[in-house]
Amino acid sequence: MKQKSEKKKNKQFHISMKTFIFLSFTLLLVFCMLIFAFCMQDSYKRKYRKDLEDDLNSKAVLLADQIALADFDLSEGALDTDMDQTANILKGRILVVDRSYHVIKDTYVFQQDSYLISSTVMDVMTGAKAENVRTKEDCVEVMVPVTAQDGTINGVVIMTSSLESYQEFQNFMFHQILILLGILLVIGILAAALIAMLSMRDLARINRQISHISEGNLEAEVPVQGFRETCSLAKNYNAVLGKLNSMDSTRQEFVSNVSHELKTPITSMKVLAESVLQNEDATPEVYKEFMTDISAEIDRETKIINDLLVLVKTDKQSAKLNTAETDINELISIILKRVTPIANQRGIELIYESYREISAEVDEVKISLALSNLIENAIKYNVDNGWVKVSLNADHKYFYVKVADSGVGIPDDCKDLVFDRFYRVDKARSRDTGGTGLGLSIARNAILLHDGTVKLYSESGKGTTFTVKIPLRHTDIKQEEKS
Amino acid sequence: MIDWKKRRSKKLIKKRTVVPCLFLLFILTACAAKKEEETQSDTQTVNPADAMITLYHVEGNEIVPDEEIYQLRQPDSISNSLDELVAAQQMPEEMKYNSFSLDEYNNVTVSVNVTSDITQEALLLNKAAIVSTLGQIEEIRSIEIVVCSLTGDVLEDAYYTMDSFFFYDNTSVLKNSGTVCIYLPNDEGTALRQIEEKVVIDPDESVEQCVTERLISYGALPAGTKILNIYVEDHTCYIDLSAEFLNGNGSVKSEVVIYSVVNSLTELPNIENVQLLVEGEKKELYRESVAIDGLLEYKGGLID
Repeated sequence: MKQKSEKKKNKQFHISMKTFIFLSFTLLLVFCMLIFAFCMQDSYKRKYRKDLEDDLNSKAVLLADQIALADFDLSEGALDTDMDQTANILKGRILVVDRSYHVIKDTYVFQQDSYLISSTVMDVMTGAKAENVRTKEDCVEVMVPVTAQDGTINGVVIMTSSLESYQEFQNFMFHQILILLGILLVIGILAAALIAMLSMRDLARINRQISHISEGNLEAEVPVQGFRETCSLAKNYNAVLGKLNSMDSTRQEFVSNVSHELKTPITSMKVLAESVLQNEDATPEVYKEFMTDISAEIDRETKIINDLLVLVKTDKQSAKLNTAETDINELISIILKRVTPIANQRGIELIYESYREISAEVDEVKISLALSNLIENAIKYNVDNGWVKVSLNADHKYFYVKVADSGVGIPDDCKDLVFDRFYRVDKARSRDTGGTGLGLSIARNAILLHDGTVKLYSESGKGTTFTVKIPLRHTDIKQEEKS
Repeated sequence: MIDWKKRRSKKLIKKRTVVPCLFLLFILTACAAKKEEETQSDTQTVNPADAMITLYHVEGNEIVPDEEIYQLRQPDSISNSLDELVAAQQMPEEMKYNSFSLDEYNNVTVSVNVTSDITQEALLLNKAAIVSTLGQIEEIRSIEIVVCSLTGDVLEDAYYTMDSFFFYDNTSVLKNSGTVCIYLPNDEGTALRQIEEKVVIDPDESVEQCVTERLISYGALPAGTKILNIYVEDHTCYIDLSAEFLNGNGSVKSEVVIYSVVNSLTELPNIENVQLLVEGEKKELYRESVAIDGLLEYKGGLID
């Protein structure tokens, strides 16, 4: 059972875009043509029929006048023969009745001398209807009163004409239209195929180019050309490719950085160990000194490894946040308390400005880590007897922490790079102060996890200010983003 | 035991033969009855023996049948039947039955009184209603309607049959069909006999052409005769026949051959006389016996 459904999934039928365009276009064309043909046919048929009726009507009126003039004397020869001829030409029938409904002429002969009974004829005879023109299923029929000079109606002329010519016309038109439609359809189909092909050509090309790249050189770019949509597709693809490539190189860089950073303390340890081993005259005091140094290096290595682990953890997009309602003021106070001894060592003044009591839904550990890093950096990269000012504020959506220092500042060209892993503006200095180069990366990751932002303002030689913005409620912002 | 079975089977055979016989008989009578009925429906009349008559009356501008079919109480007597129908038929205010009479040839004469304000239409429709109703009695040959004013003056007096009225609205107008009277040579070829023929005329054909073709198909004219031209002008029918016409028609008398054509054609209302031509030319004599160079008219003497 499972196998079957899996097979089905693999064999799912996908329609080609080209076929879709072609079929839609063709169907639309056929549909329009049919409607057009139908409407045309209909209007022409109506016109033809109307013309037939009008023609018949005028013939009948003329005949009625002639009969009125001849005072119903149809044996006058010319009139009689005329009627026979007209009926013959129309392929129809002419009947003439007098006031008492006596059929005085029937071109079909048979009903001559009988009495005609018809409510329509009676309507015309009594003047209830001026005349009667109608199209029945096989003929057009016209009834016209024979009126004398004084206006009295003395009889009725009934003229019918067969619809043979109309039907011939219908057939003729139908065939003409059919032929025309046929030709148009053929042209249309060819055009549809052409359009479908032209539209899809670009896409096919891009497909080829992408598969070519995926098989071979990933560094290559898809050329941006053709329709606008294909251009933006190519650009987006190139952007993705670029990101992948940069991600790839970043990773490579990271790996080489990590190896380098991890190797450095170990190299130091090796040097220290070797040198003390080689020293034959080394006293226990010398050994103690060297061991202290080695121990320091091990601590350093441990710190790097721990930081890396933290970084990797916070790096994950799906890293879990253990949010809880936290007193931010308290949190910052604790950090400042911890770093006070270090600050005092260099005479750096710690200033804490808190504008209000702020409580936010945050992951205490991570935020504490982030803010610690910033504050520690502010102290580390400071001048002796300088100052570090931490200010805390909030509005109804976010809380803001500003960490400003009177330190050495960050040069303009390094500003974008400081958040990168292992980046240090001045390598030598960090070594002394015991940095790993991961602090700001860790801090930024933690802040980003909270959907917050961190901005940096600095002037080389004057100082640096980091501004952190974090939402008060973790879920609110997420919902806002969703909407 | 065997005897008993034989007895039983004999009884069964009796049953088995009697029932189908009865059944067959029943079917035969039913067929016979049906046949009779079929012949009746053709002529649209009802055998007085059946005694069911549809009464017509005038409604608006047409005549309509009454809802209930009237059953004659004395269908064997035409006079009494007429009595009943006259009494039963609905007549409007403007026209009422006065009296009627029946002669020995079964021609009915009906007298009606009309008001002075009766319209032509009402007059016509009521006459049609009378004729349609009374005409259902098959034996009646014709109906004469005498229309009198309330004061007793005779306004009109005319003869009608069921065929006198052309119900236009119900017909297919362009269907040219009707009944013609044609004259064919009798078996000996010495005289003419009259028959009624139903014809349907094509749109391209004329009545006179159709009639002549029918005569040819009956063999009234010499074998191989063709109509070269036929038309009517001023009540005269000009008919041009091919040379085979002069060959004669077997044992049929020449006069009979000629007047078979002439009489049949003059029966048509628009033709009074006939001019015969052979191969486009007037001939003086037909087969040395009949003069055919002039206009020929209906000759009743040759009819059987």
